[in-house]
Amino acid sequence: MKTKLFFLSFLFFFQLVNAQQNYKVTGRVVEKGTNLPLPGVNILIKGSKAGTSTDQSGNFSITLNKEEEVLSFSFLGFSRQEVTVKAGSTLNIILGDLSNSLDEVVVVAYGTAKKGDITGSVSQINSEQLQNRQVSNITKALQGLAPGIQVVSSSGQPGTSANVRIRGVGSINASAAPLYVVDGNPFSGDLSSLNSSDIQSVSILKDAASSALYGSRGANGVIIITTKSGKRNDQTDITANFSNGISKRAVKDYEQVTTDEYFQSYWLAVKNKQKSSNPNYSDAQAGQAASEQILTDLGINPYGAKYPFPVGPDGKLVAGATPLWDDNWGDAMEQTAIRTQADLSFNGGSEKSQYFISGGYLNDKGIALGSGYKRYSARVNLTTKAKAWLTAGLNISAANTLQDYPISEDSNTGNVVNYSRLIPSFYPVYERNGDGTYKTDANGNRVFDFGAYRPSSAIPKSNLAATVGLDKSEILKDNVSARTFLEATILSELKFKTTYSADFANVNSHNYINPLLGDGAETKGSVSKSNSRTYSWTWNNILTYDKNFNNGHHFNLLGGQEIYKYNYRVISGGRERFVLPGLYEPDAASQLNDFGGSALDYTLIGFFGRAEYDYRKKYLLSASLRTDGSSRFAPATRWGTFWSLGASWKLSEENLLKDNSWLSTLTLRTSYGAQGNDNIGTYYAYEGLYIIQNNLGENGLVTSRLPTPELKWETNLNLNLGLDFGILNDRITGTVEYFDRRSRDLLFSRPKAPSTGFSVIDANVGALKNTGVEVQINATPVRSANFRWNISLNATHYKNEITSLPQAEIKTTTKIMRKGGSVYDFYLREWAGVDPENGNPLWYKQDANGNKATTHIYLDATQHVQDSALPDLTGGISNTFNYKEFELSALFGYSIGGRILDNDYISLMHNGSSTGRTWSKEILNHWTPENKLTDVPRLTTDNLGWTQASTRFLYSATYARLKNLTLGYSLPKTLASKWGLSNLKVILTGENIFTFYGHDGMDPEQTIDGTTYYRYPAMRTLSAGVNLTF
Amino acid sequence: MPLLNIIKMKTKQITTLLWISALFFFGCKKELTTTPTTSVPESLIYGTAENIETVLNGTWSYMNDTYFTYANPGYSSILRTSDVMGGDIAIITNKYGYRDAYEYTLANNQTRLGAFWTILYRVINNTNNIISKIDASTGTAEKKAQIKGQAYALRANSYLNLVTYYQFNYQVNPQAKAVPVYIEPSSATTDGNPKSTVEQVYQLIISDLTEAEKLLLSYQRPATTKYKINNDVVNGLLARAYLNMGKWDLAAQHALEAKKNYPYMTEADYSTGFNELKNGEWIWGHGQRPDQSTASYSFHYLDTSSPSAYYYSFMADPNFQKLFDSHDIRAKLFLWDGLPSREGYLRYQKFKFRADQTADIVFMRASEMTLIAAESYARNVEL
Repeated sequence: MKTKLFFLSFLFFFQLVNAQQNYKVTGRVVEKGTNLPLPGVNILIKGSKAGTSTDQSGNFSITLNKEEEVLSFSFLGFSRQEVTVKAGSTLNIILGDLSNSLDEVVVVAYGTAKKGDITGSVSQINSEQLQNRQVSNITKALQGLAPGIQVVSSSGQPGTSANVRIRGVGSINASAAPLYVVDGNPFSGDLSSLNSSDIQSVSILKDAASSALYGSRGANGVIIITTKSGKRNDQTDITANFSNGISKRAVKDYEQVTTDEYFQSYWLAVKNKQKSSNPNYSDAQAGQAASEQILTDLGINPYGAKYPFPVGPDGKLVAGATPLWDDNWGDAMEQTAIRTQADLSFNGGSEKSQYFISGGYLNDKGIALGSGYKRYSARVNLTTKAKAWLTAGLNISAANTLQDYPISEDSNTGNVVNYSRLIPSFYPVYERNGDGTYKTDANGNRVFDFGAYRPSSAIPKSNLAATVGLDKSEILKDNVSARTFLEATILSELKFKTTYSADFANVNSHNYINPLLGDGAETKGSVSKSNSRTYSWTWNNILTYDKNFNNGHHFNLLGGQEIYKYNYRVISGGRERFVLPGLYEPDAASQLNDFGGSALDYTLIGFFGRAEYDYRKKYLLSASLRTDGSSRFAPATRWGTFWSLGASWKLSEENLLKDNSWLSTLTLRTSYGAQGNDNIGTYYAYEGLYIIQNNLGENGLVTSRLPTPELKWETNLNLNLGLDFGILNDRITGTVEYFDRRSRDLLFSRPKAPSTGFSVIDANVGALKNTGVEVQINATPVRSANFRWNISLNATHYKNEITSLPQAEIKTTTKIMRKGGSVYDFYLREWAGVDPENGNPLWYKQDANGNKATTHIYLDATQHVQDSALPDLTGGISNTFNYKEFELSALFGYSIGGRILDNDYISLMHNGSSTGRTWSKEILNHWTPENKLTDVPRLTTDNLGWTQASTRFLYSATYARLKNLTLGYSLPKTLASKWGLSNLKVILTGENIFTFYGHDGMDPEQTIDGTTYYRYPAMRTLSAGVNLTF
Repeated sequence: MPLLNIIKMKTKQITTLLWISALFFFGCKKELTTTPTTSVPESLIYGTAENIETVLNGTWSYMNDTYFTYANPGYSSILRTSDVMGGDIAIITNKYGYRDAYEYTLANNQTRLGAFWTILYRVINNTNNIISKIDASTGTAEKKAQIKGQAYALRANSYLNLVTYYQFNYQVNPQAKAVPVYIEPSSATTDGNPKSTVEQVYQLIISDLTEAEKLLLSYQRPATTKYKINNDVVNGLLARAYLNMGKWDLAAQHALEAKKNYPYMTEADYSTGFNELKNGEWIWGHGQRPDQSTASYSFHYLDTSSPSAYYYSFMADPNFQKLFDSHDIRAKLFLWDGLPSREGYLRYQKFKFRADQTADIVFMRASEMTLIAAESYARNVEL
């Protein structure tokens, strides 16, 4: 018996051991299509940190903890796969490509869909492409990542947005910006309040079929931003990211002449003027007079008392004369710009509830003195299946931002970006003694030089380097956004979803001019504060019916209603005369200057429906209809109806192509439809209005707009033809699309004779066309066990054309709109160079017979239509290289063609008439009797008028920018799991690293319409960071 | 619970929900009508004379206190441009502001030209609205006469500026084409009118002012509101118009009529900054206060002695100084600048900001009327 027992227990033990041995699972992982083994695939037992990876032959073996577990297979660039396995089994896992997959789920209007199963045109940018981007606003990270979207960051000030245009410019006077949607509903908050680490994907809807469900406001495309959500049945991932870096200018500013060059050149300008004013002067007399005059003109002698006349009568520097100082105002107006970002998030969930919780901190200092941006953000995204038939969700985010935003895009002399282009380096930043040493105050500190002696063109009585730190221009924003939904499954095919979303923003701005130094010193300083509150909400109710019939037919029907309300209210006031310095609030100032406030209301109501049908996912059809009422228009005209039709045909599923060895995917798509635009700028666009303009305590009203009872929606008719292809088992995939967008009934400011008392009247006139082609190609040229190279490139070409205008031409000072032209055609006098005989500027004029001749008189020259500001080709190229645990990715954005009129440059290009104003290096190429063939005229203190707008200052807008370069190293999985981490990645990253462009000094990213306005240049940010998940 | 019941129950819930939403939506439909907070629909304005007076006030405020640029702060920029194009002022030409007018390259400054045209014609359209709609409104006859009279005079002032700026003097060629004339309110379908002749424009000016004179007979202007038009202002405008037309008798007659209630400035007044409506010899002007101070921005150019003046570019022509003998009180207002690299700049310290950085703007004063009368007598060989 004992023996028996022993034997039994032995058997039991043996069985236990045996059982444990039997928990072993082996298998092989191969690539979909090729069936080649995939080495290095990560295999994790779900819910634990235990795992392994495949060997060179793709084989693996792993021991489970219990009889049955879920294994997760992941490999970079491939879609993750989870398999429930029983101990002892042998697996054959086939992994499909992720980036090249049409199985990718993309976010579309009111839902998600597989990329291969949509009839419309949608590009999606995923979190991996946005991770570690050193930007404070998500729009700035989009450039170059998707076709059909033009992203222009006209300001580098941290916290500002880029301008985005989708498939050309679709509106003239109404807004041409896309509609932004966050987590399903239109977003009216501040895009900068979104932490890009929280973003799962950015989906760009470009055609009618994809965006017509947002029909009312989708005319210029839709950008859907979706934030991260929790994972079902998974352990909680804790992710921490930290990065720290430093920012500099992305491009150098215009190069300026040295002090020596300045003095000698200015001497020549004065001498030339002396000779023309005093024809009897000999060369020597004029030279002598100039040597004396330049010092009184410029108000300073940087060469010191030893050289009372540093430039001799011969125009050369006196031997031994060297400037005693060279104060770079560019350096004085810049600051060390440190960028710090830290994010922490929790991500997990059970079968029923999932959550994503995050917090973020960003401190992004600007390169310009006094500029910067700080953000504290938090987000909670929750979804719970409350009942078998009911799901509820809440996404809530809050952000507090503080932007220090000194004037940085204006001709104002207080512009921190432009200031160093006004004052040359021989004017000291700090007061100097005649010998070049610094003057100090009683405490031994240097004293800022406000330069009362400086001539007018060099801004006397001003020192922005001193006052920016004392002044304030702060914008404090509190943003809260919420998205909630309830979804009821009534029948397995019928679902009802109600969504309420709200965006709240409180903006408090505080502008303060100090009473100690600078402009405010005489008036004892001033302060203005304003507070605005924006609250907008959307409520929609949607019924969806989705039915598969067993013979392969599938229907999806959607119907819904939506209401959107927007309310904005603001109060503002200003006071001046502070009792003491160091007090910043209005209460401390004695003189009330103004107080005011106003409010705005806007409502949209919409009803919509969509029907989708497919037969075995091979033939797909879709149709949608939406009608919207907008409070902007008159009751009789406020309803607009928009629609779309779409079809798609997966040719590769046809028997003919199914077995084709090289062509893995081929899909044809087309769509056509109408979308609307009501964003005319004003919220009250039907009655004749008188604006309130009170007079000295009495009520006052004055005409402001003519009645427009017939004004209605602008319509955009959008045709899309698309082809998706995949070659060699989708190792190379791509999309080619043709689009033809026609905007009609444009919300147009039709010019009126200003003598009628109105310069424009709003009318639905004019038509516009954007036709173009966009291409996206993704490929994996190299894919081996240790090395992988992915390349993705996209290009978009479009032609913008005005097809109808209410009058033949509409001119502004430098642009023209006309039938057949684009919305941003330059209209300028043509520069004819410098007259080789006398060095005067020349332009072309045209007589009645069209003969060209040159003229010295600017106003006689003829204005001609020039190139458009719009580029011919825009796009991006991204490359990702993976070698073992290293990853290197590079994103280039480019824009080819188009023109920029550089008005910033002309203030450095005076011909000697702006005494004491900086000079660009190019001015040294001025005309002289010895240098006759040049395009810089002679120097004189008379204004030759040559810097007036002409083709002389019209430059090519072509550029390419290495937008981002990131080098990452991930800790090997085995090591990471030993330390209890699931991932540890160290990165070095940079934004705007190199810029290739033709016109030195100008940041090539200006506005879409191609004009400069002394804007904040792009920043180059270099950072090091760490991503940690455990 | 049987499945069917669940479905039924849920269907009921959903139907209720749908009903609520439908009700909500129909309730919301009226939400599509919103009202602005910074403007007023035309339909609410022209019923009463009292409301119509707000259009007159608003038009005045618009005319004087609208920035087009900092160099074009409303109507006063037209006056400053005239100053600069005259012979007494030497502008510092590398200062922002009035260089183009000084150098006669005004055609390059589209913003300024657009501003002048817009200011004057928008005033015309607003006064046209008042003139054509006031008779049908409710209100006392007295009030209506006052508003209408002031509107006529303001319209005449706009046309007088336009015809002076955009064509040679009446006496050169009355038949020359000057500027378009509008006497009816503009609507959506109003097209631009062709230019009228100088004579036609003056006919309208004289008839408007004559009409205003009749309507304002009984209007008593409070002394503190010199920005309102009374018959002294109307007479002054008639004097200017007749002087331009070469009708010397009428010019002198109206000039003397205009100035009779306004004694000349005292010697002491000359050093106080020339910035107060209450100045005894001002007949017409525009008031400024900290919350309505756009027009005051002109003083940043005019004021050459306050440290807070930003541009101080209106220097006196040294030849102008020679016109004053040393006993003249005004001779004391000249001051050579003397700063390095500013040789030849002669400050004329007549205009000064008030302490609160505002300054009233003068449009018409007794001395001008005296000069009109004197010139008229001289031309008429009556001196």
